[in-house]
Amino acid sequence: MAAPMVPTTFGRGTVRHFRSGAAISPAGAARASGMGSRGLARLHGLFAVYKPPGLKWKHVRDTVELQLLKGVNAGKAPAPEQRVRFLLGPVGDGEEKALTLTATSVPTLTNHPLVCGPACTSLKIGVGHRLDAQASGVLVLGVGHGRRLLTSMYNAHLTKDYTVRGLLGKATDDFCDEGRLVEKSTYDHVTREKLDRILALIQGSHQKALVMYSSLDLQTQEAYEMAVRGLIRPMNKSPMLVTAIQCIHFAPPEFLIQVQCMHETQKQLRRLVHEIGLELKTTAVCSQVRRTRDGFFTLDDALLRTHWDLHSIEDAIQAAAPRVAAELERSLGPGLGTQQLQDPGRPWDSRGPSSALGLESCAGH
Amino acid sequence: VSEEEAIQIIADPPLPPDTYTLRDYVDHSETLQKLVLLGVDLSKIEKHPDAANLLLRLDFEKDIKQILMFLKDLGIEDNQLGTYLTKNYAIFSEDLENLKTRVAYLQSKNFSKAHIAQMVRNAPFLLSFSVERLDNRLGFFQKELELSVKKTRDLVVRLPRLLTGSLEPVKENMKVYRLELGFKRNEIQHMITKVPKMLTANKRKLTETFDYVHNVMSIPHHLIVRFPQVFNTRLFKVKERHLFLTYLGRA
Repeated sequence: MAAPMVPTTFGRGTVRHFRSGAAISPAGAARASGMGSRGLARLHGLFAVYKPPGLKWKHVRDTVELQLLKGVNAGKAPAPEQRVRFLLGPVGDGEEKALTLTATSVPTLTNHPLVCGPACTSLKIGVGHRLDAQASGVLVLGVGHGRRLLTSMYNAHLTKDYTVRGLLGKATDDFCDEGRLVEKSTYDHVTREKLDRILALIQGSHQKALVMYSSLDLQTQEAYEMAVRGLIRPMNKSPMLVTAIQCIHFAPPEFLIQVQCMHETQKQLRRLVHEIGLELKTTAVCSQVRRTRDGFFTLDDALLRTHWDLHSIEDAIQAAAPRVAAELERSLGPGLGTQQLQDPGRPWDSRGPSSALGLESCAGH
Repeated sequence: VSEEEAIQIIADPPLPPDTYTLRDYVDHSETLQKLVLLGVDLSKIEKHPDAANLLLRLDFEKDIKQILMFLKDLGIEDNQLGTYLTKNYAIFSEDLENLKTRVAYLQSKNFSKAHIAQMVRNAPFLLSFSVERLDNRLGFFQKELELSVKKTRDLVVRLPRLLTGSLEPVKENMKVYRLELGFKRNEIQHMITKVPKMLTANKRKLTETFDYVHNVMSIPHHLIVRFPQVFNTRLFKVKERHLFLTYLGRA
């Protein structure tokens, strides 16, 4: 039966409203795999970003995603595509003219960026250990296949480094200096030695908890050696544990402590400052929480807001990739049963708490 | 069926009767092809289904061409037509006579041709407003801000968004400046002539920025009046620079 001719007017065509949920449009996927191999293929891995205070971690993640999308979609436009169409035309010479179909390549606008929209509409970016709105510091993000490494990092149970600034003499309801004031007290009797003593007490009590939660049998020789080097830590869920704590700066009413901990939230760190104040028979609030190291990402690896674009992030991923692989292999190890006996060789060993403190607390129990 | 007739049967797959994108139709419609070549972003227009249906049914020669020639006469360049039409695709449903009356009205208010072109470029919806609406809005700004006619004209030319946007935020912001932040009338007028964007700023961000600048950085009112750009910038930039300066000891 004869098919109808192509209509010249579109009396029957309508366009429906559609809230698209697809991440990459079908044409975009074809284009992205072919054209965007420069941009998208290298964008898999882990990198660290410096989160400024006052921003939620979700905003940071969304901003980074927007900037990356801008970079990926800014690649040069693809060459205009061609489509094969069978056109009717007279072919023949002389008096014999026959109508035949000739296959010709005709430029088509179906995959033009102005018709389809940008190639990439969303990227999959995951966040490692979260930071709350008032805290600042290193925030690890994973792109594409790097999100798998985020779970591995979580399972490696590495420690994190924080610098916490405290203010003596005040107590608020949410332990931070912008909360509702609950109590005020004097702090003239507080000296550096008292503070150091309190911090050593805290570290000692957490050392005991470390051993308990790591479910290690301390009677074995390997476990003893690990304990001597201070490498015991729990490899499964546990409450907040402080592996090292020391006071860097003390100028009453302000003091600055450096904490190395794991399985913590920033609120628990602020509560720790409050409890230090109580132990010192005065009160304290926390004015700043700053994460200086997360596993193997330090402040030097963290990207500032001005560097949140495609190139810098790609360079950061490439720079961090070998270290990430090495650390995860060492921490998680080839065999799961021998987890505890592996030597993680974490970088903070060399500049962590002084070995005297570590041995002292180990000898304590 | 003879061979000749058989060849003439075109058996292309039929066009889909309804779809979510304009991609399926772009190859078969000259209108859409010419629009894409002009630079109109169809992927944004297809999100509004009525607009997309309208564009499909229009004929380039009859309707669209006249409006395009009219826009060119106003002073919009060829390469700017694309962005303009992407924002204000509804202009094709307007009557050419109405558009001409509106431009004549603006000219009667002593807006020069170049000014009108600039206003239309920055606020694409301006030509879709009726004459009475434009009149009301201009009158509102003149009464509310109590500026001279020439200054109101300059203000509107610099930020034509004031005419097309809603008036509620402007009223709220005027109240905020007067009552909450405590600026006097002539100070507000001076700031607005320098930085018109203050009128459409977000109320919460405005109060936060002012709170930081006035209370933490202790900058008095008359200094802020001299540099109203602080209300335009983001708060974190001001904070970063201030913290940096305190770290240096105001060096």
